[in-house]
Amino acid sequence: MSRFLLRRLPQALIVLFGVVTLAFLMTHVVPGDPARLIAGPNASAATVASIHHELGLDRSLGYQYWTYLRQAVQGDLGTSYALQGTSVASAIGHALPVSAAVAVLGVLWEVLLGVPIGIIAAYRPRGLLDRATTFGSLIGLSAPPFWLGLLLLYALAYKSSVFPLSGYSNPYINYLILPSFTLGLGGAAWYARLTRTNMLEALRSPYVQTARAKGMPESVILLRHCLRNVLSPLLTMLGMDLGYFLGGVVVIESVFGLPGVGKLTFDAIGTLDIPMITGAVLFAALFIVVMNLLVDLAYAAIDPRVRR
Amino acid sequence: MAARKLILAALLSGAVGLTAACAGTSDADSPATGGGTTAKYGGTMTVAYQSDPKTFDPAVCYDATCWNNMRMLYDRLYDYTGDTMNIAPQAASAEPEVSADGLTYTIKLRSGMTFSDGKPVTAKDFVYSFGRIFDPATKSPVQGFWTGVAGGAKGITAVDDTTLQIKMSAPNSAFKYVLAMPHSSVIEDGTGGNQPVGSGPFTLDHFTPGQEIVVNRNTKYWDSPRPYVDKVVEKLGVDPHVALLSLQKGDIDLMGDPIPAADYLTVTNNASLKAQTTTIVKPSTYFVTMNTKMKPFDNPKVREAVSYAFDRNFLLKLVAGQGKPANEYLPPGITGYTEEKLTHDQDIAKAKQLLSEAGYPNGFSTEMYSWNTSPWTALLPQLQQDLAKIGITVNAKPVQQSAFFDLAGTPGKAPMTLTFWVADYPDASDFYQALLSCAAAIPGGQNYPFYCNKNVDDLVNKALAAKDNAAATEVYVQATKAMLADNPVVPLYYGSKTEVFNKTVGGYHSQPIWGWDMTNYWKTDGAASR
Repeated sequence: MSRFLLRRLPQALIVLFGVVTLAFLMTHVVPGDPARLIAGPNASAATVASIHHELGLDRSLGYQYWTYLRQAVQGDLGTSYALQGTSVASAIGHALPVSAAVAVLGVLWEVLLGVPIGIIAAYRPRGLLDRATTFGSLIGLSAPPFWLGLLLLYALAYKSSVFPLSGYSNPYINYLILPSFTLGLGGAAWYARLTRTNMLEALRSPYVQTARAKGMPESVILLRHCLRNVLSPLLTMLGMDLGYFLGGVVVIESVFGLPGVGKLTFDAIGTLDIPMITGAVLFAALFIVVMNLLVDLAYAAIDPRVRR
Repeated sequence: MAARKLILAALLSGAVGLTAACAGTSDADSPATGGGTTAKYGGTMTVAYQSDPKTFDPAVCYDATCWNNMRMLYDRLYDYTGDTMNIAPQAASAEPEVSADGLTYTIKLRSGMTFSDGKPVTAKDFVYSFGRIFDPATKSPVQGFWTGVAGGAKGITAVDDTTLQIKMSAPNSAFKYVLAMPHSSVIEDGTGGNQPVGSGPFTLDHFTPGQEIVVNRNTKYWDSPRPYVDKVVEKLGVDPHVALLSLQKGDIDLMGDPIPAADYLTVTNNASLKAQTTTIVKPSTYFVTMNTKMKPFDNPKVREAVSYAFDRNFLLKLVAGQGKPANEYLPPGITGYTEEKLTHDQDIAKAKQLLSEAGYPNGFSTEMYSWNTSPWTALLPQLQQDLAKIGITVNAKPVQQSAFFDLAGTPGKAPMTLTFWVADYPDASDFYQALLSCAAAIPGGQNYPFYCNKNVDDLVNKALAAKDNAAATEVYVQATKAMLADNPVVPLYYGSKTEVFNKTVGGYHSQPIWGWDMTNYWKTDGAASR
């Protein structure tokens, strides 16, 4: 196990390093002068120059990059240009619990909705239920989340007051159910399809025939024998989704007015807040890399073949 | 005047066709105010914004996210009244006394004003507040409005506790309006930065980023019994679509962002919302610029040809009639505006003829930049088609806002732009100094045509020294005629803004220059007395 970790950790670091480099370069290549955005186009040349100096923008790109890396390693991601005086790390730190709550609940919805539907569809392939779920999951996959979100808001928050329309305050769960459900609904379609395919394959195996021949109850066959085959691909997807959602789900957070990492990133892009954009991208990448690592480790724990 | 202001104005561009075209007052058709005419007391006003305010510090506030808070938390020497573009004394006791040479402003303060912590408001606090704008450490985006003050911060002095004096380097009749801008708010000496102490109608209770801002009534406010409401809750991070639903449902009273373009027609055609909708002329001009330093627009004939290319009425249809065709460069209501028609109607034959005279009988190819948002993306294709009719092939380049400012302000980069300007204050100088003066024809400026005509500059300065508005207008009209003869810009239309408010809001009126007038709004379910 430790040898496995030893091999995977450097790989993860290289990925992170690549992401930071790309994010840094891309935000600096975009036209637009951050000093002008801070001081306004009306500011005197002296003011702009002093801001350039203060932000270190008068130094070479290489030097800026090196400084950024050096500080990032120490956990300092710089200070936001738009929200003056706010450190990027603390802004993300504040937004993270919100995104985390949405992410965990979203994944929960995906599994709760997707897996049972997949099992049922696989059990009676080409049946009415199978066709209905295939069609349903197609809709789930195709529906843009912001549209789905607005529709749900219209029905469940505007027409009837089951949920609040927007915001984030106590009791938080009321504000989280709709966004996480919207998030989960699209993903559930993938889970249903994945479960169905893997279950179908398992149901055709000789051991299922054996089990049936010896009169094992169908529920045991399905849940104990076949479902296990679905667990590993499911775990991969779950880990990836969680990592992806933790980085903030821009559309969902904007529609539902949740102060998460996605909303932070969205606002930062609008104002060319370079430190915030780079910081948010770095965090998003970090989550994906970490979740990937965890999934791999879980695999290794489940399946000894992977450890080699 | 600046980028941020333009962003604000873009947001405000959700507006409907208007009937009365008078100086920034309410549309005659509009149901204007709701909830009767007798003010009620108490209650909570709930509003919603998409974004957090960038700051609570007046010296750096220059966009829609912070303006409304400035007006609630602080006072200025002068402020706009009701739904007009007229200013009246607020923290001052009277109009400024201007010396005969127009260079010295002496302003007496209103007596008995205190900050929310109980300390009296003195002239020293104004010297401190204004001085911060000049301090490079403040990084103020609005310093440009104060360049006319002689000697920078040294030109502003406290004669005694209640008398403020400002020395100018040249006469500037528009300066009084600068004193009414959000950034000219007074804060207590030494409290600049994150938590300034103000003397306004409300005091800040708390700000939770991404969630809410709560302000409470300042019980010691000088203009008693105002403000009428006890509390204002600003919900943050609310998508405008959702804000509109919340308003219709009654969860919020006012929308901080404009009605989204997609919902605009639904709202304006909704009979039940009619009484809660108001449209006013926004003092703004939408226009095309041509870079006078770039080929082929360095040729005046080419620019003149382009001035005959556009069908203004058709363009307005593309923005759901939210505006009025421009008859000149300045919008109605601005000192300097004339009803005389100075723009050219579409005349394809004439435009083609001018192009051949200029040596381009077969036209040419060029590029036009704009923001990549509404309404620009709706207008660009039509401008492209109009110009194609006279033989000019336009490569449309809608780009992100900050990229736009960078590209359009770089010499030799953007041959044409489609842009606009919303008045910071109702005087023509605001449309000339930053946009078309020689001083602004520099890299990083907003004179996108890089236009420089000493005669126009002189006329604007002459107008600023005029003895009254009528005299100033006369000179500004000359300036506009001289400028439009050169065609650095082609004015297209004047914008308007439509706002929707809840039935529960009493005394509602829009403000053409500012956002809300929270001091004068009340809740219709409030009490008859305090």
